[in-house]
Amino acid sequence: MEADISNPKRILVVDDDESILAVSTRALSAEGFEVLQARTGEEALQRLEQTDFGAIFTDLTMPGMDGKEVLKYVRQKHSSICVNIVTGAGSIEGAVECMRLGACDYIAKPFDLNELTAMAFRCLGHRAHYREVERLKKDITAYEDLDKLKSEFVSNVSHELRTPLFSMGGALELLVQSVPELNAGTSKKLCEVMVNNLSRLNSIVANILNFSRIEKGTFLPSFHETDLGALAQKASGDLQPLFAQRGITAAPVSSSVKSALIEADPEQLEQVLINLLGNAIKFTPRGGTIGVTLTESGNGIILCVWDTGCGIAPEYHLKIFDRFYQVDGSITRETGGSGIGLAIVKSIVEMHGGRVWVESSPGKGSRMNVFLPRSREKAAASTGK
Amino acid sequence: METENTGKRILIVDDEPDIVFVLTTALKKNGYRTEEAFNGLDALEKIRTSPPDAVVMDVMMPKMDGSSVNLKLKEDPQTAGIPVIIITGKGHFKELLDIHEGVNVAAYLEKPFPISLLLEKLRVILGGPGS
Repeated sequence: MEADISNPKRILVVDDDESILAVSTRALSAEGFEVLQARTGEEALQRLEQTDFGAIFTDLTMPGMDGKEVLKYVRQKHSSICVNIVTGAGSIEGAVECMRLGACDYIAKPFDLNELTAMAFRCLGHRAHYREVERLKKDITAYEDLDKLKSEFVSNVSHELRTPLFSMGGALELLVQSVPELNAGTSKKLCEVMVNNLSRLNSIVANILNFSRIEKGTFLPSFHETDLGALAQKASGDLQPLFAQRGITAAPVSSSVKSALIEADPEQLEQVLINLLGNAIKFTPRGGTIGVTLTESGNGIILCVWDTGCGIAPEYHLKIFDRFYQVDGSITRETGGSGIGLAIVKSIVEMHGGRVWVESSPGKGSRMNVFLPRSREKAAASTGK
Repeated sequence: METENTGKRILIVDDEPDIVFVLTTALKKNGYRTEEAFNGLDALEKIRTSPPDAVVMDVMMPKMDGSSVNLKLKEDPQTAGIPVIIITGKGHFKELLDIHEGVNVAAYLEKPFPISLLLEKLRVILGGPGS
């Protein structure tokens, strides 16, 4: 039985003396413990390999493998099990040594059976504490991992913010100092630097704000009739200066759907498009191509942002949508990014009853697919949520 | 401060074209000649082919990062003497990436910094565009 596997009330009694085994088993069983017996240290080890125990009572002096060896083995391999040492009269030194090696308690023969059962109950408490400590340790590790990711996030975001700020600050400093001396072309270009970087800053700030709203649960879509094709064209057009600057071709939006109208939040979907296109730009080298396609799929539309960039290895296909996740530090170092763009995409798409997935392999470009149901009712039907 | 063009050649290296444009405009206006590179590998090639008087270089870049470029320059006696000014948006990289101001790099500036500060550093390092 499955539930029986980790019964903390299961006890192993190890003794080469049949009478001790018998009385111990009777006393512990009467208190509701499940008792298994072993007559040698070797047999005890076999039992330990087959079954999980809450506690062990082992004789110290046995032919072959003695109680001390059993204790050492348990401490190494089954650290959550309490080991109690049963010693013959006058051999307290051995018991004390076992306590040093990690035994829970000891009892000397001849013993009072009430004392034996009391020890077994104390082990139940130890076991519960041990489990609790293990659980807390796991929690702490998870929090430490998240905390590390958050620190990296803060560092990445501050870098993201500093870069456009520096371009704008520098351009402005030059303009203020020297408008009359600069030729019109240079002045115009410096103004363009400021305008483009301002929009980049705005989009970083919007992503951070949306991210915190998603975390707080206050970022709910406001559904309107939305033309997905028009949105895709607008997003691609808005990013045109960035495409030009990076030497990347933006393929025209290609659509094979009868109607691109869906019930959705246009602002949120614009953010989805900007984030997916922005990501594609980051990972596509000069001379590459990026495009958007719309295709019919059941009761909705699949929007695909594809690129001819570096691609993503299969082991990262799910992880890239985790908040703060970056495929690896060196790529982040090369391309920047805060690690929240795709997490925001996933949240928005799921709030629309859709889903997002990637098809890609290294060197072969990527296809980021977003399925969006045409209406909210159909969303409920298609996702079963 | 306006000065005569003395012909000191500065290589500007950053993967952000806007930053390269702004720095190029500023340095030209202050009497320097400029060259551009948009990644570390390109920078290394340009420096080896035709050593500039100083390099102004970002850290986080594709192909090869700025600190690796700097270390390669320092290994080669032909290029070890070229002053390198590191400009970066990630402050903590300094210790991690073996960048030591006054030891293996001439100066270290964290973005965003005023352009006037970069000009000041160049003036000190190169003895001023006017000299």
